[in-house]
Amino acid sequence: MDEVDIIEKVIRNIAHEVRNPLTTIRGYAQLLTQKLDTASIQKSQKMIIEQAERIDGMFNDLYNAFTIKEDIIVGCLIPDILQKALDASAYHDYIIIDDCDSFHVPCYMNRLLLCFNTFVNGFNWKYFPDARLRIYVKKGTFCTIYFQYTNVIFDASLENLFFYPFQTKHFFVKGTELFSIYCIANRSGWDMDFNYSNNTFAISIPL
Amino acid sequence: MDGTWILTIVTILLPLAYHYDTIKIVYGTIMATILEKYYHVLIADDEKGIRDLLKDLLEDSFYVNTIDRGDLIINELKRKKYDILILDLQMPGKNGIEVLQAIHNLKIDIVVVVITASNDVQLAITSMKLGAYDYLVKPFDTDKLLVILKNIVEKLDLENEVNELREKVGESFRFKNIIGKSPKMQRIFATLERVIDTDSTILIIGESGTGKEIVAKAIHYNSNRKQYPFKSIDCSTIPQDLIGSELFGHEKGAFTGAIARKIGKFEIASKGTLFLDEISNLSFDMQAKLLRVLQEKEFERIGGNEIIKVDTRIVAASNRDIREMVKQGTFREDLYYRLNVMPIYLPPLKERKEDIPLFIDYFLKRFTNEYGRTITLDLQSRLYLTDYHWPGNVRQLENVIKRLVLLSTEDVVRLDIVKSVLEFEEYNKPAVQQNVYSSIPSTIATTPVHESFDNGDTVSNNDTTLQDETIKTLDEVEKEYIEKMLKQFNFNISVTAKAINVSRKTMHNKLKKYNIAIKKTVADD
Repeated sequence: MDEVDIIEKVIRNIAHEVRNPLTTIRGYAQLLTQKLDTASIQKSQKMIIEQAERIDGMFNDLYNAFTIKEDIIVGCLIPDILQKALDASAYHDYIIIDDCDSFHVPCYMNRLLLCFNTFVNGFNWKYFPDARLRIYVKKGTFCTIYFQYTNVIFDASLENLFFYPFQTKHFFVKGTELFSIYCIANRSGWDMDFNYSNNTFAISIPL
Repeated sequence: MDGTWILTIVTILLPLAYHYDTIKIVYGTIMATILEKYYHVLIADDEKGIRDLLKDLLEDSFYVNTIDRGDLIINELKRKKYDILILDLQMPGKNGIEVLQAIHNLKIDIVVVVITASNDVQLAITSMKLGAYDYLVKPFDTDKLLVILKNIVEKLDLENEVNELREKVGESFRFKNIIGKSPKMQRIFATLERVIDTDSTILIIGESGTGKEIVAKAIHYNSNRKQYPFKSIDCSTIPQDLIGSELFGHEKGAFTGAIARKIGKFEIASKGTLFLDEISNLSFDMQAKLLRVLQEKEFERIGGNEIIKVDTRIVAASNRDIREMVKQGTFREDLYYRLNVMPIYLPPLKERKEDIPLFIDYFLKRFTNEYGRTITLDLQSRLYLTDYHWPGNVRQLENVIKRLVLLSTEDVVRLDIVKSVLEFEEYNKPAVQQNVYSSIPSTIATTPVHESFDNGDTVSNNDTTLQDETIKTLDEVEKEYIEKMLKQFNFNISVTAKAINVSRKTMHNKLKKYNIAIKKTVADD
C-alpha cells in the first residue's frame, strides 16, 4: 500500500470520527436555546466542554502516534520483555505465552515493550471478557512474534485495520493504539501485519 | 401556635405523605398526557455523547431508551415494542446495515431513521432500500431530526387511526356480532369459518334484504385480508357502459370524457376483497372480462396496454338463480363454475323466525338511540311481528321498526299501530309483481317476493307479468295512504308529514293534488 493510500484512509477515518463529538457539540448548542432551566444549561455546557476535550484528545493521540521516542538498539530477550508487559496487566490470566525460546534479538527494547503492552493491556478486555490471547515466537531470517486473539472477530470489512485508528476503538481502548504501533514498527524497520483468517497480529524483526 | 392548628396541619399532611408515591405517579401520568407522550423511541449509537444528546432532546415528547451495541438491538426490539429506531450505522457487534437487514427479514414493524458519520451515497441508498425512513449525516441539525420525527409521528398517528377504524368496522362484522342465532345461519357461519382464510371465490344467493352485503363484509373482516380494502360494486345500479371502467379502471383519453386515469375497483381492492353485488346483471361481454381476471389474476385498464396483476378475492351475490340463467344462456357457464366454488344460500327472514326477536331488539335499540326516544313493543306486537312473513326480509323489518319508533305517540307500541304500519307496507307493494324467484331452489324461494319501492333493488326479468289488471294506480294508493295516516294523527298535518317522512310543504301540495279535506278536531296546525 503506498503512502498516499495510507494517508487517504487515515484522514477519511479521522473525518468520520470527529463528526461524532461535533454532532454532540452542535446538538447541545441548539438545546441551549430550547431548554433554559439551570440544570439543562449546565449539562449542555458540560457536554460541549467534554466533547471539545475529546476532539483535542483524538488529535493528541494521533500526534503522539507520529512522535516516536528516541531509543537505542540492544540485544533483547523476547520472553523477558513479554513477561514485563504481562506483569503490568490485570488480565494476565487471559494470556498464554506459548512456544517461546529465549534468544537475543537486536532491537529497540522500549519500543518493543510499547508494542507488547498495546496487545496485552491496550486490548479492550472489559468489552470482550471471553476473549483470550496466545503469544508465540518463530525464528528464521526474522524473529516473528505472533499475537493471536480468540473468541473475538475483528471487522473484516476494513481492508487494513492499522489505518482506521478510530474504527478499532471497540477492540482497543482508544482506537489509535494500532496505528501508533504500526508507526513505531515502520520507523524501527520491522514489519507489522494482521491475518484476518486467524485473528493474528505479527511483528517481524530482522535478525 | 395554637395546638388545633398543628393538629389540622398534621391531619392534612399525613395522608398526603402516605399517598406521596400515588400522587407522584398521577402527576407523571398527567405530565405524560400534557406532553402527549405516546411513542417509544430506541436510540442505538455507540457514542455516549450522541445517546445523551438525543435522549435530552426527545425525552419530553417520547418514551426514550438507548442501546450501545448493534448485536443487542434485535433482541431489544423483540423484548419491547418500539415505534421509532434512531440507528447509527457504525456500531460494535453488528453494523447498522445488518440490523436493518434483520428488521426487514423479521418484518419488525418499526420506523428507522439512520444517522451516520459517513457521507457515502451508496450507504444511504442501501439503507433506504432496506426500509429506512430517512438518513441524516453527522453532525446533523437537531431541528432537522425533529422535523423528521414530527413527520413520522403524523404518519404513525394516521396509521393508528386507520387501524382503529378498521378494527371498529371489522368488529361489527365479526360473526359473533352478526344477528343470526337460527340453526340455518349458524350453519352458514360454520361453513364460512372453514373457508374464510382461503382465497376461494364465494357466491352468496339470497332474496333482497337478507343481508348479502353484510355477509360479504363479514367474510372480508374475518379473513386474513382484513387489513386490506373491502370494495363493493352493485352491478345492477351502474350502467353497463360504465361498469368496465368501474371494475378495471381506464387510462386518460380511453374514451370521450376519460380526462384522467382512473384506478378500478379490482386494483384498489388488490390483496383485499371485491364484492360484486347483483352479479347476474353483468353483460355477457363483461362476464368474459371478469372470467379472465378470475383465471389469470391480471387485466388491462380500458385503453391501456399495461398488464396489471392483482390478488383480489371475489365475493359475488345475486338474488336470482344463476343456474337457471346459465340454462337460459344469459350467464356464462364457465364464469358460473368459477364463482360457484363456495355457494352460500342466505335464507329469507321467514325461514329463520328465531332471529326476528333479535332483529327487533337490535333495531329498536338503534333507532330509539338515534331519535332520542324510549319506545318498547308490547307482547302482542312482538308476536305479530315475529309471525309476519316479511317479504322484504331484514331490510323491511328495519324500515318497519324505524317507522314505529318515529310514529309512536306512546312509550309502548300497541298492536294496532304495528298493524297500521304493516298495512302501509302492504300498500307500498309494487303494482307489478316480480316472479323472479320461481327458478330458485325451494330452500330459498318458497313464495314470490314483493320488492319494496324504497329498497333500491331493481331486478330486470323478462318473465315478469301483470298479475292483477284491476290494481290501483300509484296516485290512488298514495291518496288512500295519506288519508289513512291523517286520520290516524287526527288530521295534524305536521305530525303526519313527519311520520311519512315528507316536508310540510310537500304534504300541503299532496293535499291540494288529491283534494283531501282536513277534518280537524284540534286546531294545532
